[in-house]
Amino acid sequence: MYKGLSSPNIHTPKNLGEYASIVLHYPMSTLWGGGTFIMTRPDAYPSKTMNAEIIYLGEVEELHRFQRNDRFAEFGAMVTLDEILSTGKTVLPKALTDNIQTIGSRLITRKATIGGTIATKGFTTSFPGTLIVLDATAEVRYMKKKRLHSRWMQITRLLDRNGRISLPSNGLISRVRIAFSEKNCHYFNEIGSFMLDPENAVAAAFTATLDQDILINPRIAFTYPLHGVCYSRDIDSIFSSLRFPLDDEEVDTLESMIFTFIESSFPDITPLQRTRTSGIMRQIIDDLNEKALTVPAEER
Amino acid sequence: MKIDCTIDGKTLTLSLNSDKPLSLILRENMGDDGAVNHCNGEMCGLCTVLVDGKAMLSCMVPAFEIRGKTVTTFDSFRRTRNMKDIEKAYESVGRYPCTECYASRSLIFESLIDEGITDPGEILKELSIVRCPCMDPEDEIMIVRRGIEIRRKRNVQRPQLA
Amino acid sequence: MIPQLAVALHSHPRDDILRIMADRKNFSRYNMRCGILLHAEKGMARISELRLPDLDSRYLAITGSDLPAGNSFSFMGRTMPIIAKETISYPGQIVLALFAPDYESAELMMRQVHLSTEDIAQEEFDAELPDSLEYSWGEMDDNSEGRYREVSTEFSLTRIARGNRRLYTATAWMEGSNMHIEVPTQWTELIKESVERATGYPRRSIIVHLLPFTAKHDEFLLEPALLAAIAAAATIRSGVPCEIREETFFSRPTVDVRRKVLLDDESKPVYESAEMIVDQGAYAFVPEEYQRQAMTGLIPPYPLKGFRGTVRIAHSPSRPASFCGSLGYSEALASTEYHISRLAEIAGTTPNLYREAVEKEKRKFTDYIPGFDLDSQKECLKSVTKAASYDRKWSANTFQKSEFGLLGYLKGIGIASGAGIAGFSTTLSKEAGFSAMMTFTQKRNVTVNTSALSHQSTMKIWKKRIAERLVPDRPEGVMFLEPGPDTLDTGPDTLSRIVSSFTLQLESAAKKLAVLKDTEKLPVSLRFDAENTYYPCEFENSGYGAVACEIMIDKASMIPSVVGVWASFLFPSVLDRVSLENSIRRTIMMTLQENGMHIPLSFHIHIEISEEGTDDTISSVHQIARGLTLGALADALHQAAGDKAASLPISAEEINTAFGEEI
Repeated sequence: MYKGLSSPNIHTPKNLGEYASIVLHYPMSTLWGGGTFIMTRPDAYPSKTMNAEIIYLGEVEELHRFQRNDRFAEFGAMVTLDEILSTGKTVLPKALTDNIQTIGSRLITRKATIGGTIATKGFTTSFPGTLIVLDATAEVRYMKKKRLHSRWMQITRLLDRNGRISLPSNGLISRVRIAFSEKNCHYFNEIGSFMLDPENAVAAAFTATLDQDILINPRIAFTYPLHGVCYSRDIDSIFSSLRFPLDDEEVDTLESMIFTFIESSFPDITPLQRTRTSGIMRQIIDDLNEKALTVPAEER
Repeated sequence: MKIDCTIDGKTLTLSLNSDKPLSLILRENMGDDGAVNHCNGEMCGLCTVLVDGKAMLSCMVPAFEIRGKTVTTFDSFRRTRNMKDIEKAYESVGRYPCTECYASRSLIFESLIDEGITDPGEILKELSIVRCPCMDPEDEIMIVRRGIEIRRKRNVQRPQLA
Repeated sequence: MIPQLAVALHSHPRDDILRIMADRKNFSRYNMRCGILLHAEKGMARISELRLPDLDSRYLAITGSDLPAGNSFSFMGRTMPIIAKETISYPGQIVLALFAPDYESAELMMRQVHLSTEDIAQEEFDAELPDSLEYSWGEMDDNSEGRYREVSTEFSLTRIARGNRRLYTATAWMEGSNMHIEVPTQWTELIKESVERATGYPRRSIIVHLLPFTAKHDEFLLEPALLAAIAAAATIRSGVPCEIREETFFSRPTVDVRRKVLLDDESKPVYESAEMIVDQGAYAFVPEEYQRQAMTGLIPPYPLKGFRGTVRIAHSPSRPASFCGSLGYSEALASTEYHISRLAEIAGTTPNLYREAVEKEKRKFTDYIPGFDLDSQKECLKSVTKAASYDRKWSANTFQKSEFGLLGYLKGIGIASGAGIAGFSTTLSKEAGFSAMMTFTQKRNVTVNTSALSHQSTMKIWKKRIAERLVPDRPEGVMFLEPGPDTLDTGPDTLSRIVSSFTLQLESAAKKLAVLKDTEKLPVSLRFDAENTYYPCEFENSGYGAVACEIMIDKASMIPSVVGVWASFLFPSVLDRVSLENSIRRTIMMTLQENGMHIPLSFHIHIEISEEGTDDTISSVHQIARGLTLGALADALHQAAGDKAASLPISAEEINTAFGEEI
């Protein structure tokens, strides 16, 4: 065997208490959730850079819990996307279920966990954007003075200034809480493959309540896998000020305003990502225009 | 790291690197380099195995995750009655996968037939992981549906015979 | 005769899978070396430094200087180095093979290898290329009086060079005085020859064990031979079995076809010149045969007073593109069909009606393809246009063609029709001298001595057919001799072309032997070769087809997707319809995907296969299905995107760039 390569030690805490004591002993250890991202990196194995200590979270009981009441659903970080879909397909917001379904085969969704989709290092999946527009919150566990602390935070607050999810060192997302939405507009679309073609892929999530011709509490987030999530309350405010249906000129103005913001955050997005962002945005507007022009069923 | 697991019905204790992908374990340690691929994260879908009866991409399963689990590769699955059902479905529809993806596609078909999934969208989504272009979507749907029928018939007949 | 026998290559994969399971090497992995290769990142460069880390005795590095008998690989008369020694000709060329006790060690050690290169001038980068192949009839009118309308068309295919994401292994080990090689290969004799050239090991002592494979193109033709030679050299040096693991790779040449046509008042072509330039990469293999195949596809099916065709082989510092499954016939046929559709556009009519107007009942007899009736081809075309509602869709798409309008997508439908050819050309068959031998033994069994043993499923059908003629009651009485030192070289089975011809030869030999076994003293043997396939033309036509392909470009994603494919084929006889249809479907799907098309979930292929009921010639299904799909796809893309997207394969990025300014 190559002398620089040793088999990593696998720690399998059964609860968060055990997790805390392992982190205390091995602060540089690698957290392993579903492993879908780590295992699909080209040089994942053999790797000299892979930390010698791996903390496998698959056996932490608390992280597999799922509960719901009439206001929200709460998932442990190790609940897989497939489990989320099968347990909450009828009650969960459409933007979230659509997002899970775009992942494709259950061979992936059975492995990928909700925690992992948020806290993947150096890569942004399409989920943080969706969770942001859904006003989701996450419980972050972190070590402070040798003790494990916990804090609920909105996903928006986890975004750093570069649009990436940033957790405190040794921080761990333990639970994600998603409120049942009363909004009547839910939209999610992903174009291109985040895993196979990250240079050109783009995803957008949008939620709002369309009341006659105006949007109440709209939220929109664009995600670029190699850059991060582009979310701004300023764009939300622009949407709030619109009256639907929009004509072509208004759509063009809106598009240029959105691009001004996106390009100020991510100047390096590719031309194809730009076209796709524009395409998704226009699909959302078309959808809203159509809804605004349709008489609601209860008024017919 | 010592790993206890069951691969193709054999209870084994393997001495392995704890993060070695199952696909490489099967190729290098079990000699199954014909039916299991390893594409270095390209998600070719050609490394499918059944882990505790569920179809998984073996390149995404590290060694430490198979501790205490039962892994079924196509090597042993091909001899089962369930595979015979799938072969009958291929025959009945008149389509079959190419040599390259025969093992993976058959195992995913098994997973779908076992769960009785008939929804075209779900079938195609599940099979979309195999990116070999040898089968078109219509055929895949027909094979799963036919496979479910064949399996049901067999399951009905078996208790009667008993 | 039996077109679908060729198809069997890709059919009944269960048999091949079973064989993979059965053929296990019986030595321990703990006592072997695992090898990986270092590939160059850029071509046309000189190796300025190749620095290796300190390697202990468990490691072994093989460079271009470490091959005992010579660093040379030869394929049908053309050579290239097995491992780049001083200069690197193309990106991806093998620079070093590193063997270690396990793959982990090999990979990690390889990451410490440092390769630095410096660019070399174009003049230093030269290759041996054949002269242009020219073929013409009639005198070309210079159109100085302006009697004709002069039209030019262009067809272009960009190089495809990529890995197939599929790993395979080549293993070498010694047993007594024999060198055993286990590898998937489309030509066992090439493995032997390559190992002999590299190691000096006598060919008679080299035993090749075949690993089953699915060759979508010819990815198991050249590279396994290189790997086998390196593994054998490593085995000799280390004294233990050595295995190399590598990803399969295929590479299609860059093809450019330029045509100039003089049209009469009715927009019918009168004179035509066609020039095809094929960039085969850093090394050209069997370029002369490529030229002959390409010329056959280049000759249009409509009558002309004068025609001048040129096929020129070019080279560039890129991976040697061998044949990519067709040796140029498919690409040339696609270009011709695409060209006819462009002429139709100029004439202001649908490509379907234009074909009917310009194509006569019979093709002109040329040195490359006989003057066959075009009725069958036209029937296929009719059937496809009806099934696809071609004319209606073509007209609707033409109206919609004002770029991305309100619909948010662009559609295009294309069509192509043509005939298939099979086997190597008459010229190559005469030169190569591939053969096989069938013997009727004293025990009244039949043995076949051939190196074409790649596919169990094909052999099963062969056995059945031979048994029917010679030992009707005992199909088990037909045996294919295990590969050994006396195995006869039957040639490569690339493209299944040789299998197609070989099937014909086997049938013919069985017929003759059926007579000889009763008249001659047993055992009686019959050695047969390509003589049976000598025709007045370079190729014999057989099998006709037409394909229509509808595509859509989505405005939001810029992804080109295929809506549907309609195909109609006519073969002399159909033995196994299921295998034949599976094979055609796979070829169509593969051609679409490798040319950048997205296959949506709603995609469907409608195939109609009919048979003439005759018992004569054979055809290579892949070549015709591939050529027609490519032609129809290029045509559909042209209708959807016009001149903006002029080359295949195409990507969403390229479409975005092409339409960028307008959106």
